[in-house]
Amino acid sequence: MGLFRYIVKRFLLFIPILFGITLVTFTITYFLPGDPAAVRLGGSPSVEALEEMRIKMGLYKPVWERYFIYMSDLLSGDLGKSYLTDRPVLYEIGDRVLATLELSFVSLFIIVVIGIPLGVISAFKKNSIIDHVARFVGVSGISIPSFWLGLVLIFLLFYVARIFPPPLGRLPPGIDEPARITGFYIVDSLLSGDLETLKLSLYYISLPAITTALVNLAPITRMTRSAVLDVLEKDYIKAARAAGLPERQIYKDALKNALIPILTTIGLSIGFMISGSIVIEKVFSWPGIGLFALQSIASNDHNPIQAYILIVGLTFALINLLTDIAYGFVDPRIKYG
Amino acid sequence: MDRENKTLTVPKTKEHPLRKTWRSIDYSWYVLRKNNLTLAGFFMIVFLLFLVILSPVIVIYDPYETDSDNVLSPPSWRHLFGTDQWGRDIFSRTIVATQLDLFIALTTVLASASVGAIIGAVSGYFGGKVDLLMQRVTDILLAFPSLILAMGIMAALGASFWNLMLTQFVIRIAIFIRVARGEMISQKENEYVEAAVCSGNSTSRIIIRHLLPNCITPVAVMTTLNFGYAILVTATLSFIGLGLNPPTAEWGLMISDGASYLVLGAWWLSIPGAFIVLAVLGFNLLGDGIRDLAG
Amino acid sequence: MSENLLLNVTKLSTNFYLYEGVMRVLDEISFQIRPREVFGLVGESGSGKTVASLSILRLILPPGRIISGEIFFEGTDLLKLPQKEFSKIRGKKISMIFQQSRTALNPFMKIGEQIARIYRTHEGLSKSEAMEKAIESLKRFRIPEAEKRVESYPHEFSLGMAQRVMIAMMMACNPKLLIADEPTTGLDVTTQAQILDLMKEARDKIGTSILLITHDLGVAAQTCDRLAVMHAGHIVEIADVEVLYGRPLHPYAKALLNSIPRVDKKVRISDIPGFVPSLLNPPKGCRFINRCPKVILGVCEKAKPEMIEIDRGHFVMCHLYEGK
Repeated sequence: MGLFRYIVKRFLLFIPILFGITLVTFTITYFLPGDPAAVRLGGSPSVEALEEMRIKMGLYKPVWERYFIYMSDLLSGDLGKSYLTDRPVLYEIGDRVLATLELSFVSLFIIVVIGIPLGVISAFKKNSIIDHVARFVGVSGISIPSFWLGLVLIFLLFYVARIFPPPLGRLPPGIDEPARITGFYIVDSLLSGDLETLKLSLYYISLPAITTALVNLAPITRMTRSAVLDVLEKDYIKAARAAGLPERQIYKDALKNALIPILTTIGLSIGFMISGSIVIEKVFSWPGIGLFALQSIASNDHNPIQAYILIVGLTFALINLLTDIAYGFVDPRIKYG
Repeated sequence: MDRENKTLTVPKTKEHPLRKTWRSIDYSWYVLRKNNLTLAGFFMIVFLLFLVILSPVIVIYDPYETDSDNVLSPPSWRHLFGTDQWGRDIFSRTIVATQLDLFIALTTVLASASVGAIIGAVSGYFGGKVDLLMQRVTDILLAFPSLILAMGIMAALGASFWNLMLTQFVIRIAIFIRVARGEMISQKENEYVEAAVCSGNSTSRIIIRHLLPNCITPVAVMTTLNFGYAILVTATLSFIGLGLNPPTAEWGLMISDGASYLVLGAWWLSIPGAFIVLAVLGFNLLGDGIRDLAG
Repeated sequence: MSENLLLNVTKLSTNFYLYEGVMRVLDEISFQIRPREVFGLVGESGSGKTVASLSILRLILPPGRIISGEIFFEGTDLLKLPQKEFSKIRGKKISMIFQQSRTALNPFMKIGEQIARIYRTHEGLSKSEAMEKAIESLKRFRIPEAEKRVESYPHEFSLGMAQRVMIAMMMACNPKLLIADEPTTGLDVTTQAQILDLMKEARDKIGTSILLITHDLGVAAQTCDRLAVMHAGHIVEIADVEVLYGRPLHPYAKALLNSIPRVDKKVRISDIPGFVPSLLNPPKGCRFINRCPKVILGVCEKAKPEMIEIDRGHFVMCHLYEGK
């Protein structure tokens, strides 16, 4: 029952953060430039029409009342409408969020498959050549701006070498998207047996995914390395050696005990990939929520911006909550209560 | 073995203060030398600072002067890094941008580090309601990925130099508050504080003379590691149109300009990009070294 | 010295390579341990006791390195054994218990599992057999409700109990030699006595020799058969416990023994002036020279004294006794 109480307590601590996130989101939106009424009406409306629209949209109500309306809409699942398309923001985002997630998952897969083994090897072979290379690659990775890396890769691998496709989104123009089942093109085309589309969607996702992975590889490799090193220096590892356990077993222990910090970093990476997607999506014209947010900022469409910041904040906070809870499950020393 | 290692240190003798300073410089230099990567980072930053200092001499073209006869030209002796789509000299623009980007990163990080450290230390020392409130505020600021928070604030305030400075300051103040607060709380428990209280020191004296110096190390490490990130944030925000406005000579904006002419060649974006990498990598390598030195 | 020896350490030197320079933590130390004997290594902190014990098990990690010497155990030189062979000795024939038993146990693993896998490694037992043996070994070291406790994690034990678990774990394969590095430091006096009794019992029943490392001269007096006194990386005196406590020869040993309060005699308790000298640039001659009340000028600073046998089994390393 201790674990249950621990989880409940985590959730309770989560509530003020949720509240804070909505507060920040609302404040930013409140100060966004542009007249929502003008955007909503479009064209060059008359002064009277503008005034009428402003009253209708509640722009003259006091701040606290607008926040209250925002919160009550939010609690009923209403993120407002896009002024431009007049569609609910929820639908607009729903159309695009899977593109962002698909890209993030593919990148995450690359990161986990490469980053964790690399970190483990450089910890076990500390100060070897592999370690130095891994560390240098790691530091370089966090030092390269993702948008620049994307552009350079596009230039080299698309314009010059012609290996990768142009940065034009999820599929080449003129190709229909696969029948919508999950919204992930790779999964959908696989499920509907459309191998041609599967190949194309893998081809088109490869370069943006590689770029995202390269930029996010460093933290995982680093964290894995330092977590494993940290464990290797512990007394109980020395004791295990003194007890004559085979090195293989000792490495296994070290890996197992280093798992929690590694999991935390993976969680954080997902958050960073979602926030970093705003740049990658712009570079690769990837039709995800980041690109949508940028377009909304450019056209002063307030509700989608508000929704975007809210969703990213919530995702980030939720990941933090989940890693906290994961600690409770894995580490027997956590004192519940 | 750890225990033995700690106890077997050189016995402390009274040293002349100058000699002590020399020893610490000597030690820092040793750390730099011992670790080639840290040394490399050090030289990258020195190189960039060197360019900044020399800029009055080496920037021979006006970075904002357009030349319609000489558009998108590749590197030549006249224009070392070529010219951009308005015929502006990329070399001059890059050096001016170096000045600007380093200035923004250094000033905003130092500002949020010092303000954040003081707020965190004071709030950690006194505890109570203010501390609780401070904690909630930092929790909320840290609930967002900092790039998204920066993007939101810049979208609300509008792209401009001072708004960018303010945003950079706001997005990382929370982390400094948290680091300093945590350190202060653990330092406060030490017996020397009690001793200082008993011997009649005033609270402000205890904080300033005894506690703050001991909280400096983690804040300093954090500061160095943040310089590089601040440069990335400036460039990224400018690239997506939410940092500085064209025609400012700034690395991210120059890359954004160059991206439109990618088909015609990569000169226009590779030079400013390489400078970003040089600066950020330099600070990160140096920060790693300083972290090793401190830890 | 051709008598029956279990462990024969000769001229063992271990250095630590630090920024400040080379730290000569062990400087040609030699000592022998006989079967079924409790051999004590005493000295101030920083004298190199722990490094000596870790060197025997080859657990010195960089920047430390064993640079020379021989460690003969049952006729083979441990320092020359290939890593694989040596792993078979660690934990089976020589094992070690640590000062902080709770950090020396894996916090994420049930203790039953931790003990059982030693049986699986060294005796090739199956999972269930090994677990039975683990329970048995916990019982042997008087851990109550052993069947239940195998399911516990290290943090659920008190310090004293954790130390018992550690002993049970390290005594699992009935080793010939148990190295105990400050096994009772930080425990209360009753628990201390219990732990020491357990170790002596292990010696009596199983015949394990014990290398006890301690800075507590009371513990050493109660437990050990013979003692070696360490100072700044040198062993300065070796003798039977009664001999050493009754007639210490080396000025350091004298000073050290004078620093314990006694009930039977009324003497002034004195401390030892000065500090353990820096091992970075140790004095060329005797390392006790700066603290010694009986320095012979012109001799002590010139050369390192030889280890000489004053009486049978009573060795001392001091210029005062040379030529006697």
